[in-house]
Amino acid sequence: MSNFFNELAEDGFVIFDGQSFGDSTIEIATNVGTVMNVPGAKTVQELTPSNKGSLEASSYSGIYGVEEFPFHSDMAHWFRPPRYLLLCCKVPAISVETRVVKSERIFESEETHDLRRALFRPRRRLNGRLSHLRLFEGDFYRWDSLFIQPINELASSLRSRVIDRLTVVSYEAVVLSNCHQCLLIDNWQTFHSRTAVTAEGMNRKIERVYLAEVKG
Amino acid sequence: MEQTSNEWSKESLFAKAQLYAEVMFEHQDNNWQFGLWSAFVIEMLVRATVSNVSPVLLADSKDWNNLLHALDKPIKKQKFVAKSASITELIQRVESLADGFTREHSNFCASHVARRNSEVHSGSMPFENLGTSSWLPNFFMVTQILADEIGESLESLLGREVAKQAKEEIEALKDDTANAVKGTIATHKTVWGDASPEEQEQARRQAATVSLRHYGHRVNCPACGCTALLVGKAAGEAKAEVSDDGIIERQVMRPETFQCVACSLKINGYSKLRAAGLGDSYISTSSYDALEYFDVDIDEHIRDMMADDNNEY
Repeated sequence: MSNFFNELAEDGFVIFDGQSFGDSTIEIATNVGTVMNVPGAKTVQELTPSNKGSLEASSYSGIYGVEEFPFHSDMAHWFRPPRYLLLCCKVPAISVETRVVKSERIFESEETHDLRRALFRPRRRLNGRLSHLRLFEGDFYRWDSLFIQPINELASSLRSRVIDRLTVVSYEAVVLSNCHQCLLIDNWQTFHSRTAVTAEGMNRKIERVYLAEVKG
Repeated sequence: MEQTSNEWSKESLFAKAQLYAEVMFEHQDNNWQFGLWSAFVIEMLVRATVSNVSPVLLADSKDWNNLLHALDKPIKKQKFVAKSASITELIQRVESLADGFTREHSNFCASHVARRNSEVHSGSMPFENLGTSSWLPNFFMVTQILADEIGESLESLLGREVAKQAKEEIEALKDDTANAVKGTIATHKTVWGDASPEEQEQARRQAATVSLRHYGHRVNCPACGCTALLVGKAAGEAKAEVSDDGIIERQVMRPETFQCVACSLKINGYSKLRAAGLGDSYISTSSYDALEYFDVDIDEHIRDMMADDNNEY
């Protein structure tokens, strides 16, 4: 178990066999950490490839369809996004990769005070409110090229630099190739993306659960 | 996990202070908007400081539903609009909550907020042509104390470059030895008074001839009243604007040295100049021909329009 937590702390993600923790996704999630209920979503969310236009343009599937999803952190437009996301493979697709990059690397050349002064906001009001957001909040990083927008000039130029860096950054590629194989991602310390889904990957099915903490 | 931030949270209020500070420094020191936005910065910082202890302390105590709002609790009262305490009251609360925030700081904040109220609620123009030395060092001093109090810094509020200038202003404000310059001025005044009217007139004319705008900013000497020169250093970025005659560049200058040819008074250093009532920043204006400003080489453009160079025929 210590390897599990070491890997998670060091790499920002860990791949493991879900069957060691339980049979169902919710059982695995409960044994790994504290499950979070996300407003407006099921506790266990089923992720399957969808073609553009079949969903609303307020989700990545609605915008990108089966094309590549850019690097992001989940719920980056929230004031404090969920800490972890657990992905459990139900139907594998070996042609589809989940890519993970440590967020810290993207910002290492940034001046701390400018990073603090670069202010963003969600692109739409959430519960009738807009919150000020920063890409580094002191204890976590956030990123989304669509769902958060720069408010000031510092943020606009930072956004451009982040986009440039994410197009050339080296990343870890994970393929969930077996049923019950799981990927636990630290949503505060990494950004992740998904490659395009090819015709043979259209049956891919992943279940996702958000966790507030992992049981150490 | 939180979808949104509480509008009375320290984080939200400090972020607004950062944005207001950015707008403030988009204007030059002598612009009324520079002063107005500075008052908004103070207000947000005061509120962030109170909220840092608890957002509940921001609530207007007349309606306890305001306390619920501060705690993000659901409110059953119909048509409820949350109301926070007045800024004057919050300034007093900060005096009790923040260690380094004294009555002097509190008085400055209250008077600066009063200027803002006068600006937005009346036809008067309290920030127009308001000399910076009368308030800017105090503004920086207060922002530093409040930013420190909430775990932030002048750099995170204003950026590294402005924070550097702010620290110099704060040092000048703290420099008690600078007041010694008042003695020097008094001595020069006495010597000037001893001179005959003819000598004074000759010196006055000479000073007016020598003290040209080209060399610095013309001011009246605090000892003899003759025309004298202030020379400063650039503070912040120059702002350029296009006019019919070319490019006009305006640069805010912070006074560094003063010299009066008539009575020979010399003052070096911003803190002493401030103590002498000569600390107001001024604008240095330069006019450029557009070709000169953009370093355009007309000949090169003409050559570019010709056919390629060919020395074979």
